[in-house]
Amino acid sequence: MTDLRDEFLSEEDLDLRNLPQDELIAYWNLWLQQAQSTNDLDEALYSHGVFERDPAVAARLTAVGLPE
Amino acid sequence: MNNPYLELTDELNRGRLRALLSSGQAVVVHRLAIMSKDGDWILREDAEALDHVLEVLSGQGARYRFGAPLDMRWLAGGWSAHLEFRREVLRIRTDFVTRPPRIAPEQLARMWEEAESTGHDVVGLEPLAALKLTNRDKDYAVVGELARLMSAPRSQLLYSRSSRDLIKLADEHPAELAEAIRQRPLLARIAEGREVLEEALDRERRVLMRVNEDRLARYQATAESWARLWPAVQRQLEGLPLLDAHRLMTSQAEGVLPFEPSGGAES
Repeated sequence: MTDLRDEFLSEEDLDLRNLPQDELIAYWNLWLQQAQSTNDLDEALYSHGVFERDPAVAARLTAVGLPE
Repeated sequence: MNNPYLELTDELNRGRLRALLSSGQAVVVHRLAIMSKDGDWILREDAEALDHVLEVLSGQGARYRFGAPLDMRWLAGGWSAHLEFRREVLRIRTDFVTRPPRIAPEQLARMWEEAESTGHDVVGLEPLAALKLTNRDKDYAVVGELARLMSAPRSQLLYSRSSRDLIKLADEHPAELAEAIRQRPLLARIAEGREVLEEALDRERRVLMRVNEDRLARYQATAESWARLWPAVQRQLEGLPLLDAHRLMTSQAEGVLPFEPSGGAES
């Protein structure tokens, strides 16, 4: 019988550790390419650091009548 | 084949170790999950390092986003600098700090010493887990898995998010538990069983999230005048080579963006 364990990430995420280095890089690069589809949506946002929103983007969107 | 963030890290560290790849891209290097498309580095807080970073980014055609200038006076106050460029189809965002949150000065010094001795320019498991104690729920899943990769039981006790793992660790390593309780009071609840421990883990996560929210709120409040000025500053920076833009941005930020947030910087 297998002991239960608390799960945090998906099997797909954890499977990265089984990939050879070149396959990891290929998968990583493909993921980054696919993630570009949300560039417009997160233009004003920050992933790191102490800032949360770019005020210039918000001002530009407001000027053309779009939500910030 | 290489990856843009690994290549950029190599360029930032050409001739001298100046930058440690951090946060989401470091999590990928540790082979846990791919969750972020932006890059984040911890930089050495010295003029040569910052000048080199600006030169590398200038060569990439980078531009500043809203943030602090890449200048020691602001970075020493815990501020972050943010730049961006295009590489083929990719938007590459580069975020920089020299005083990462939740990393004590002595731990930061050890990180640089370790990176120098190993040549590994990626943030290690324990400091990476500390960096991931943010106000974002999803980061706690990463911390949970990072803890499982740590080799020292004491480190696992300090960062584990699993009640099952903690109970097992406490049973197998009582001496390390006694030591770790001083840093993580939640560990004193292990003997009360899983349900109590899970409630304590949830409460601990919520407290950590609020602490980070409060930290960010202090920076936001301090940056209000800079944020109001930024759309005009950005228009002035448009089209300028990065090194000229950096000089102009720095002169504009002086006197508007305080070097330290209200209430002072903290690690």
